Amino acid sequence: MMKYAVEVEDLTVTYNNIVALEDVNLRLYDGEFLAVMGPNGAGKTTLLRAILGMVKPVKGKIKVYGYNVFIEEEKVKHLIGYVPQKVTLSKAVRLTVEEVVLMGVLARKIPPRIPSERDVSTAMEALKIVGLEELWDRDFLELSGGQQRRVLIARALVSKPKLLLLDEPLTGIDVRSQAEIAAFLHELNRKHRVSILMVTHDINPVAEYVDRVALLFKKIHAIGKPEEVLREDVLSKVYGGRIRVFSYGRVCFAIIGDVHR
Amino acid sequence: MIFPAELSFIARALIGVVIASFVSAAIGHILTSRGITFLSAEVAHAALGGAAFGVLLQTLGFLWFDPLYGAFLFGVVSALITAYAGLRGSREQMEAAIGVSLAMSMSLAVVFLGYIRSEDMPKVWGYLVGDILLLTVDDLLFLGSMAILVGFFYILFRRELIYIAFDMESAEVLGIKVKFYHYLGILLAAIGVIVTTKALGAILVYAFLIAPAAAANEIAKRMYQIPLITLAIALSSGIAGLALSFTVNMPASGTIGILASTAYLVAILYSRFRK
Repeated sequence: MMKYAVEVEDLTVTYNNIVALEDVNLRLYDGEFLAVMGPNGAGKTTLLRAILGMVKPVKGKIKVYGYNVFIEEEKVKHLIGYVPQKVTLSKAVRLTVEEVVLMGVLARKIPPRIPSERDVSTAMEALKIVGLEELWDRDFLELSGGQQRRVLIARALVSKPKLLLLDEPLTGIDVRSQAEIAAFLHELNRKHRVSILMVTHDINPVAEYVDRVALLFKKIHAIGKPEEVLREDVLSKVYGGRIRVFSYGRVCFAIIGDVHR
Repeated sequence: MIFPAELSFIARALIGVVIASFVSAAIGHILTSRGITFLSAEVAHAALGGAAFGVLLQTLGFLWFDPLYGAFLFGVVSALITAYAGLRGSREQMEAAIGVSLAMSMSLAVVFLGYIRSEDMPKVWGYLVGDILLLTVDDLLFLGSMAILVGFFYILFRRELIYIAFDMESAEVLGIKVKFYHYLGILLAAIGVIVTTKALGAILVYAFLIAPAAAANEIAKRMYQIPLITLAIALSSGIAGLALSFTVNMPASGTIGILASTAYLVAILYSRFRK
């Protein structure tokens, strides 16, 4: 059995000669839930895009379950489910929830990608996992931010991936929805054994659920259990002095003067 | 021969409207989904500039160069420039490219028109204002074959075209060749616009290719309904526009444009009222 879901070695990525990531080393164990946190411009999305094989690095290697993401793209794509930032979605396209989730199935078929009954039931199963089966016929754009995220997670789960990559899944949604999604991701990780790597600027909603936290700003400044990373002396390396950390039971919460738009 | 040469001009206009309605159903859906409806205006005006270029070449003795070749050349190049500008899915970059290409096309058209003999002017103005009542049988055959081409690729690849419009990044992750479908969608739109510009004119093309799809976007509940509703609106405003123009002696193209645009306004009101 493969020990690592993701292996990132000495990864350096530049955009127009500006360094976005420098000598990043990161390993996600199979079945682990890892949150990568960092401020705006830290390279969080770039890291995800590199793992997805969408950004060619200047240096370094990335493997997903042992497959090189830049050479064995097709094998890697079948292992990964991806949930994008909501801001990348178009508001000009009218799709129902069913059509959005089906995208995860049909995109892997050949044109004209006509859905079979099995495809539809697969999509419905994925929607049941996120608890939104009653919204099957609804217009995706008319859902709340939290519901939209869960539908996008269902789309990512429809191909039964071993690894789920999420880009800021909790940004721009209300606190209750954040808590629900965080608990759902935890259940997905524990019950369905899906390895999860999420990048976020706000660690607090998932602080009690993640196995480890990585602190990223161009490079990995710290990685470890939440209580090892969520410390004022560690976080201040990246965020400066605008940090306060509080403990509630065994869980740490960081108050960071960071604004994410 | 599919069409008898002696078809009345009314029958030819009617067939032209029906074919253009099918083009509208496909192209309108692509362009409204991408949020770049003004691409139709850009390509139509580029086609106008290209037609002027073709007429000028004929004036200079290149009689084999049909103005339609110029329309295709300018329209496709202009659309591809826009596609290249928006390769990363940025609507803002495509909008800027559309504006610049439109200005460039019109500038070239003005320059070429300055060298065209006055008796050749109507050939160019036909591309600007169009006249559905002057369609020839050859025009219809050309329009029909291009509509079949556009329709075939739209039906085959409509999901890809919609997926990249909705979420280009995830589409790429899911294995869809987004660059290919990005160019294909814009190229299909350009071909659709160029052929309908010859029939309807650059001004009406926007109303006829975009307004029905925009109206359908307001009314439809599911993706597959959009091209069907677009077709219904385009057909009804086209046929009703022709009938009205004969009844009250109004210019046919303008009447069709008014009805198609009105359908959009009604659809917005309906959509708001429904909510």
